Amino acid sequence: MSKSGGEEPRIGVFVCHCGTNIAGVVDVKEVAEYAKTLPNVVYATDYVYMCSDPGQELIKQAIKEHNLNRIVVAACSPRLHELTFRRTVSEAGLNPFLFEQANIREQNSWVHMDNPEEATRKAKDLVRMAVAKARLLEPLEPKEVPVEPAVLVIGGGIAGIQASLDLANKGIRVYLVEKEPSIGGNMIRLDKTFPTLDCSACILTPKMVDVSRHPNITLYAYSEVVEVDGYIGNFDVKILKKPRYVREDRCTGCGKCAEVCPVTVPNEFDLGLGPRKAIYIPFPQAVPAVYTIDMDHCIKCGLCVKACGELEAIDFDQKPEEVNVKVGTIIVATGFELFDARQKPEYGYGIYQNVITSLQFERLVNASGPTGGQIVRPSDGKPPKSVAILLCVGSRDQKALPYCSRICCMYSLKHAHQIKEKIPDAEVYILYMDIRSFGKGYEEFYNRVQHEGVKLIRGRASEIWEDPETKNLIVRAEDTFLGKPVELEVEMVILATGVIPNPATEPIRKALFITQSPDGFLLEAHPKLNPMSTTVDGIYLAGMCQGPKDIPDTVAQASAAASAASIPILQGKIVIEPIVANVDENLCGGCGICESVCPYGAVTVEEVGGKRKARVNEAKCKGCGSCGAACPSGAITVLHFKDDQILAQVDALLTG
Amino acid sequence: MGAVRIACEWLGICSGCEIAILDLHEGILPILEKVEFVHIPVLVDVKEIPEADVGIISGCIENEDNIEVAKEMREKCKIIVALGSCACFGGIPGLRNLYTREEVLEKAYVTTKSTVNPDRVFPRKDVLELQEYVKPLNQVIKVDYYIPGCPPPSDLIGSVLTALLEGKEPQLPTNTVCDECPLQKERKAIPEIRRWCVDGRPEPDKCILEQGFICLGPVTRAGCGAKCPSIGVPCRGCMGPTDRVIDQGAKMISALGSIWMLDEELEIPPEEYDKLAEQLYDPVGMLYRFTLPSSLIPRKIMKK
Repeated sequence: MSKSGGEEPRIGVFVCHCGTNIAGVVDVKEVAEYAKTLPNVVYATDYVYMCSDPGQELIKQAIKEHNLNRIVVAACSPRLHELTFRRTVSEAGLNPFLFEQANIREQNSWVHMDNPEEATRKAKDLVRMAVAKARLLEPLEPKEVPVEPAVLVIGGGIAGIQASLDLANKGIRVYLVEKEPSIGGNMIRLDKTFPTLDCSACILTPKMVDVSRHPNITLYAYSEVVEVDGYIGNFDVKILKKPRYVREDRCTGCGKCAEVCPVTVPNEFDLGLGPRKAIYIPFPQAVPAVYTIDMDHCIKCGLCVKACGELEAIDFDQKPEEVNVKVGTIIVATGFELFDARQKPEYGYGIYQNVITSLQFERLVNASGPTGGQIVRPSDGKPPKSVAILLCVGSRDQKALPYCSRICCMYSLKHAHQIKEKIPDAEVYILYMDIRSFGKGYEEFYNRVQHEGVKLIRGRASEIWEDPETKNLIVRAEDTFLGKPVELEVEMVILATGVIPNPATEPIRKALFITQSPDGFLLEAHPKLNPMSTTVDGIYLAGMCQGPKDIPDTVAQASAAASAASIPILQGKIVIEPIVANVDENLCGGCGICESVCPYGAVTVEEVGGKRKARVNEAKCKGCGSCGAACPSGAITVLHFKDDQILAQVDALLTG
Repeated sequence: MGAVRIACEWLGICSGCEIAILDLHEGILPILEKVEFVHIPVLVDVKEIPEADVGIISGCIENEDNIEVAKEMREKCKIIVALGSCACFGGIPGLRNLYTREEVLEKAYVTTKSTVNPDRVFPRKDVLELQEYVKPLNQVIKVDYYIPGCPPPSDLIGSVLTALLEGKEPQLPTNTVCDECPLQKERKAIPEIRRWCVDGRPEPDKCILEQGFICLGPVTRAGCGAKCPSIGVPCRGCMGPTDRVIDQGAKMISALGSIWMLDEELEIPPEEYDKLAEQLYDPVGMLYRFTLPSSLIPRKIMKK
């Protein structure tokens, strides 16, 4: 008696030619003939393309004619066509999980094309193993789970804003969480955007206002996601609203409080280049336009309370507030941070006053920045007559960031253009390894800047030192075109620092059980075909948190993530794959190893009648098998990959 | 109905299992009312094995004599119970499967510190010829029931005997030692493996494995009441694996590999993997102390 409802297995084996991909190496007819000799195989044949409509029809016909109850297809990787054939089998009335695929292409014909005889023998081995497993296959039933019609968007930069607006415009409720007092992210700090030179704030602030006004968007600014539990369709999210000490419902953003505040500290929004008060908004167009008190510096003098007057918006006793929301899907858009240029001490950042980073330059050149848009050097406040821009600071550097940060070439060309525009007689040098101007209109912009008299020197700067009298900087590099060392004396240096993942992403990453690539950015589900999803169902990625990219790419990915995140919500329910871990509580000792190793937080150890027992959340479980391998008592099995099924395959391999 | 006739035999053994039967104390009295020990060498010197209803065999198969006795017991007894981890899995004597028979004899009769044998006198070949390697009982005869443990807990012996007397199927606990263990369990993720007593002692009340000491509780059948871990001593796995596990040591390796350096931030470079093995002192002795002869790789392959 077989383990699936008592019926004797009647197995059909279908060997695919895949054109010449398989049949060019493997003797597929011989493999099919061989399959007929295996126990329980009642039908076997070969066909040129099993995945084609006629190929699938062949399977359906054979199921009917020969009363087959197990199907083995020997073809490509199951990653490609397992779903196709499960559907085929299901259309013929069989449970879709009574199907097994033997990979005789990627794992055989493609790698043994110089040895057809052995490849044919290996194909037989693989078919014999698949048949051995097919004998023990059990029918499984997918489950359906309803989806909460709301999306959580973490991060209020351009990626989060774009995704939120797209979703909200589809009629989906959005909770947008931003840890800073205002949304806008890094983009709102920028002056102009390459290559079109439109003003960053001019194109971003309308979207920020849209976010604040949209009836479908609930904005939690100055808030953080502290806990996420659940799974696709049903995430429970705990958001912590940090106290602003100013009541959002009363503050009108008039700014009278800041006028009277006696405490002045460097504004982190201007990267320390300009001042702010202890009660502040980070920049004039902040959304929400609500002031925040920086309690690390506030002296509680009470002047702001007086200035605020009857509005009574200031509340020194405000406490952190917890908000719980339920969402169906989540978009992570937590952005980036700049590489810390201090890690390259040879460039003197943090030592020499006139060495600044590109983002600091953005604030300098920005009309709403600390200098009102005047480019001045920090040491004496005078416009620099010569500037060197160093590319790849941190990026493409085996000692720092091995990857290309993708935006520095273009923004540095833009910086060079802006210096030339505002200080026409300034000498501007760009020291580069390669100029990567890959986007639409980027190469044209590069040509334009070259014609504006910017001097490009191909070579990475080796070091910088300061003339202590003039505070000028001497940049030493090798011009690799001339093969000569060069030494430039300039009045200011801009370091085009690379980008790194935002450290604030890490706790969110851990809470969501999403993985990262070796560079530390969040890992997409597939680098080409699914760059906006994670490997966790229902969690999507937008913008720089997934890897360096410019604004157009960020916006495109954000819209893609919004689209992907809306699919389960518009479908209203999701189907959960039944290949999941299963706990036999009679064996489980509650040691908790499974809970520790589960990469998806799907296994938890719970008290059951005073005993600790592992429980699997089937909606969260991806069937990866980590717990099954680790489970020391053998209590956990992964359905469709049970020990007896796998051991039958091993036995079949060894006893062929 | 007359008294149930029980015959006991011991093979390659230390006699701890027999003492465990006696350790039933007054618990043995209700059993004795219903049974007759017709053959029990630990108590009565009888040369012939009589016919019996139940045969209890302790000890592993080490030599020619063990095989003969085991086979005779199988012939004379209706039911055979393997008592103790030596009979069930091969036990501690099974660790000699890491050496050849010649190396074992050399060690036992010549090179041990307490031996003086300048003439290299060995036991005569025709007496108790030592087998090439140790086997558990079920590799020689069919075994009906098992009572694992080193020694088996007396109450477990009692419950199996009582069940047999009542004509019921004896049941062993299906779960693991962790289920019986009172220590506090949190997150299983160990940055390094520590050797008990050599690299310190575990903090009381906290799971020993979580502190990096190799405790075999998770991979070991319950039934002992978690006696060792309860007093801060790592479980050595004497009860053997659960019914679902084929190879106790391999399963523990799998579990250890899963939790070792689990919380380290980035991927572990492959060359670091060896460190797990390096940190594990005497891996076979540690993980297969009682089960080597019944494991998937039951002995070292000897090159002739």
